[in-house]
Amino acid sequence: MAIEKPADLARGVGPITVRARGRAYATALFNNVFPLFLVLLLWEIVGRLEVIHVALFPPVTEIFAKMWELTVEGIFVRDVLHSLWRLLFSVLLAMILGTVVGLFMGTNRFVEAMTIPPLNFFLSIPGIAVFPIVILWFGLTEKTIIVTLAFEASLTICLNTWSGVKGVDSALINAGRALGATGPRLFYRVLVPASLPAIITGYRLGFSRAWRILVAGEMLASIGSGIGFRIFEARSFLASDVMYSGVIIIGVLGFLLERVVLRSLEIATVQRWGMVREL
Amino acid sequence: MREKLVIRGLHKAYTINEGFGRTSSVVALQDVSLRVQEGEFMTLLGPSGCGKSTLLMIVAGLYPKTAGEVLLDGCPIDRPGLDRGVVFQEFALFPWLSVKNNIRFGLQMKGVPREEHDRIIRGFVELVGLEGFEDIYPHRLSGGMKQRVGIARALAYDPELLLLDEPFGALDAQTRASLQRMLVGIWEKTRKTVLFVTHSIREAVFLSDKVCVLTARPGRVLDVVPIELPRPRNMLSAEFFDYERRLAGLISGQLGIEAQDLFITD
Ligand SMILES: Nc1ncnc2c1ncn2[C@@H]1O[C@H](COP(=O)(O)OP(=O)(O)O)[C@@H](O)[C@H]1O
Ligand SMILES: [Mg+2]
Repeated sequence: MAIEKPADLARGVGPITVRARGRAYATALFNNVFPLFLVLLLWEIVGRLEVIHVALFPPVTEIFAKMWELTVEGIFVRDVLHSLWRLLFSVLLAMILGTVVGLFMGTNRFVEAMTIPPLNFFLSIPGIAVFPIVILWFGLTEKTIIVTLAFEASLTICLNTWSGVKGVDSALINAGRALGATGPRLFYRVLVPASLPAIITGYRLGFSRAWRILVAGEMLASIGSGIGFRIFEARSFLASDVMYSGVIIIGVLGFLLERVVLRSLEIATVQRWGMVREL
Repeated sequence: MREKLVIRGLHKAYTINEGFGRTSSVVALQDVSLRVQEGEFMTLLGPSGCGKSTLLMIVAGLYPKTAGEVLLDGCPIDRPGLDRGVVFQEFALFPWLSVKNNIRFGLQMKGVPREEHDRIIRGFVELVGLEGFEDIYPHRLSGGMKQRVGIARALAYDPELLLLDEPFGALDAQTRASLQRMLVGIWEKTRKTVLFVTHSIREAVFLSDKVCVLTARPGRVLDVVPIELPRPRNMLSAEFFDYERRLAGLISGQLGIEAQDLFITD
């Protein structure tokens, strides 16, 4: 929306009242939670009707009871913390590595030529496929999981950062140069913020890729803790309620991390600047 | 009066990468020579694609030249510098910076002491009539407001020479008229040397001390026409129309069309 008069301004960007903000949060919560609630309700009904054997498809209430039990016992809390720690640590590594390499690729022709072929090659390998090799290197340890995750996520982040920098409007670069920015200052005052929408998209993709591999990795590396490990272990005892609890927790955590952390980053930056469209 | 900008024998050929190792070349400017006096408002006028932007960008130091000389105050230009301010047709504001911080950008690059920023920014915000919009991000401004920011940003660090590439080309007629008046006002106040690019004959006659008419591609200087009309200029006066007709004659001769056809599209 374009502003023509200062009067519009007061309406548009004046201090937001606490009540308006509260209402906005309530609406956002409702929009995100209500559709999920419907799914759970349907699940409960199907579970209670015992169309499918209870051991295979327990009603949600029983799953939640089990979830509560395991949470109170501290098992789930420990699992969640371990999984989260692995995820956040490796994604953080990947963000640093992928962003730095991607930015260099996008600004230096030699670096670009040297990195694009291997990058595309590694990107075409599913993360799970390299797990056995990494296990060979580091054994069944934390390191195995973190290295694989960081590697996978950094590839995605790198690719997005690179294409983001390549796609920066040349008019903005010219404006920066005309205003006296050169070398490193042109780089971090113009190129980096201008490619931020693509960089953030890379973080989201890298994050979800890492999240997927994390769960699989915990199953493969049978590392003694973590949500993925818990599900895999429960399978050998046919404890379907534990397995479902684990799956739900994975879904909820992934959802919250994406919505709360990455989406907030986006709202606070590129969306506020109008660099991505609000829907 | 001193000569501010001297262009001698300027050539520009673009090399186009056709892919798979093949290249071709387009001559955009051929043997262009031009002198701009200090404090003068010079306009480059010519049909679309004749090389006006190319010439301006070479003076800005943003494009490399193929041959020839460009001197600002006697010093050769081969890179961008804070002695020149550039205003772009597509605004090219930084979307991640508020209006105030867009204007601040050049001050920071120039190393102007931080204490002076607010005073300078306030002055230029007033000059272009943007009071109350300092903390807004550019995407919330209309086209006319955006170009006001563009002009303030290019002037804030006090360049010697102001370069404008069809700055009002993307605006509607009313906004364009008010920004033209504003630009004349700013020029009268600051007495900067201005190099202005347009394809609009009326705009050229309204704004300029001198109009440099370029030929169709490859661009050469066809004629430099001084506009000897008192300011503020009246677009409806007979003298104004005489100048318009004279420039239209020069350009239509280039394009091989009737001069009156140029008035239909303007
Ligand atoms: N980056 C470029 N690469 C190749 N050719 C270009 C490039 N920029 C402009 N040209 C060509 O040079 C000529 C002059 O362009 P330009 O200076 O933009 O003209 P004007 O601003 O007068 O419309 C045009 O024929 C255009 O196609
Ligand atoms: Mg042009």
